[in-house]
Amino acid sequence: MATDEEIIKGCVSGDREAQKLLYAKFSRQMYAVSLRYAKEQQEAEDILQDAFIKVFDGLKKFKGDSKLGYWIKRIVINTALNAQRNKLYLYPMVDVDSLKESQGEELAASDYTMEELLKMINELPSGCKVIFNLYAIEGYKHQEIAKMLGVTEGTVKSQYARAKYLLKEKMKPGWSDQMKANKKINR
Amino acid sequence: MGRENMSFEDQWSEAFDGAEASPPDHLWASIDGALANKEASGYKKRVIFFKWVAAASVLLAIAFGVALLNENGLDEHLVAGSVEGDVVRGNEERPKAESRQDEKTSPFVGDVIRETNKGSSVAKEDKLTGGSDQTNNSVVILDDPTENKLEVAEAVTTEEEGSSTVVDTNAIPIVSFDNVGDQAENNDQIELAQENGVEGLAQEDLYELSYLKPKSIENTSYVEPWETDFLYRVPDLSAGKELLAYQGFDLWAGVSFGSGSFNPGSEAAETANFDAVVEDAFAVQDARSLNNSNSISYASGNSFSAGMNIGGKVSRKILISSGLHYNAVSPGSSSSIIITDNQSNKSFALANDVAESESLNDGLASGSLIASQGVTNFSNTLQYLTIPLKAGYVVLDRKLNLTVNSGMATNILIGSSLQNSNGGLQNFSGSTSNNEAFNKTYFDLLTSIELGYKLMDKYHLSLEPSYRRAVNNFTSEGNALAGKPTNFGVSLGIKYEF
Repeated sequence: MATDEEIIKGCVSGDREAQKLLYAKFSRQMYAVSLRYAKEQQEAEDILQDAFIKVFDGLKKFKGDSKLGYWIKRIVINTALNAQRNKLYLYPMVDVDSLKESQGEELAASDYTMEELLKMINELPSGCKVIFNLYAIEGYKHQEIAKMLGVTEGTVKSQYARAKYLLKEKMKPGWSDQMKANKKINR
Repeated sequence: MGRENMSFEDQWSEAFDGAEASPPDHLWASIDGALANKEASGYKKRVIFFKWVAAASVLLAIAFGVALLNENGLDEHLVAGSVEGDVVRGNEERPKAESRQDEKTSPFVGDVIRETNKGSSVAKEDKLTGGSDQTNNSVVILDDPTENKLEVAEAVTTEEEGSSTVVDTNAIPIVSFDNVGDQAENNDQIELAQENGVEGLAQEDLYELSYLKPKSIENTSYVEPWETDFLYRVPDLSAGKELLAYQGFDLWAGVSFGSGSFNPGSEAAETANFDAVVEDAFAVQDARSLNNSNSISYASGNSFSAGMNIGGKVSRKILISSGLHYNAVSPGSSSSIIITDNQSNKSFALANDVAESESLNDGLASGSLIASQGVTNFSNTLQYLTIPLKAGYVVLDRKLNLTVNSGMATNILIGSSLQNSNGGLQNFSGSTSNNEAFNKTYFDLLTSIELGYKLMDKYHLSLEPSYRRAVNNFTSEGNALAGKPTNFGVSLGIKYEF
């Protein structure tokens, strides 16, 4: 089994086998990341493809300051943000009115499957979805997100609050059953 | 952490921590294709880059060539005319005689001033006439007035069919104006010419010539013989001339001296015969380092050479040369115990290999041989008569010329000396008869680049870095060491073209 260093060395020298090894090692994890940002599967594939080409191009600059997986994830997220940027321009993010707290008891995220959670995220408006991913899942701070997206911190906060409200609504009991019912109808 | 205690964000973060999803199989194929396209694009960019580099190089070479051409003024005298003797005249460049009749300046070398009465009796020279042209006795201008000199002679001139006037260069000047333009001097010359009974030159001609002023004549010049075979540096094969068929053999001779490094390249001989070494140790004078047989070596030193050279062109581009050089090489110093033979009063360096030899011990025991206390530093000087034989390719043949040489050199040992490097306490001189440690002859392969500079038309200064490598050992079979020397040197020389 080749080590990360050996794989990186091979990739930098243009060895296609090494590139394939790197892809095999990280593609599943990174595909899951790109699925969270993309609206549909085809878009996620495009993000992953572009991101890996950037990875192979930029590996010679990788100094090993962080873990290789984390470095690749950053590239995937940036690629996804670039892909989303046009949509964000089309639907500019603005402050949303204060939302009422979601009433009633919601289920925990762990009560849902990965597929169900992804569906909930994908049903969010584009701006909300990106900010929710960056804040709740990737762990960026509001200020960092504002800088990344070129919006105010207030916009980030209000968009996140909206995303949180919408998700909590979806996480109330019955949403899952409703989704399953919708699936049956669609069939 | 219990579910109820986790924040909303933590729940989602944990839910996606380490999440994986399988991308479709075709995705790698897409990435592979994209990478291949990117590589191809890179190659294309590189090809384009190299194309530009190639184009720039060609342009640079052309610009350099044009600059060189202009510098040497070839554009002023690119002639397709004939060359005979010292006078060259292009058909297009020669102004019509009629158009110059009114001018009392700028006569041309070879201009016929007046035909004499002896024309019919002069024998034709095939070389000049080509067998079909007219020959006359004429008074002609021999020297170039642009250089403030003018010589007028009675000479055989040949008018080639529809082209140029060719002058027999053996003509003897009958009038010389050393300083054209100086009327007082000119009058003296006229008087002198009259006293000597000038034939064929009328009184008015002399006065007319005496009024000539120096003037630049741009359409005529001296042209090197080889230049007539080239037009804008392109070989002119239209006249059926063979590029390499050089008529004649341009001989030159010169002297040179040089110095450089001398690396003996010595190592222990694979078939070292130590019995023979025992004999050699007493038969030869040798600076082998003898304290430790494992470290015996001839160290790197230097060389000096001086000699005569001779050579010539066998074609326009190929030349051969040879010479006779005295060559002294000095391997670096080494150390040894000294053995002195009381009977012959000769001293020898001792090899470690022979330290335990029976003959040495017997000699030391009987007192016929005396060993020195401790070791002494020595250096060898080997003297050779070197005969190089080189073939050269002329890369550039202008005022500054460049020749690449390769060949072989024969080195004949004429002597060796072993000297004490500590101040001459011991000084051993050898002769050819007792140089058994070294081969009488060894051969070098050599290569060199000769940079030359033409001086005063006939002389060439040359600087020649060279590299030589022996093809056989300079040490003899009996020597405990075997060495094929290499030599890098630079020589400076001057040669004269006949």
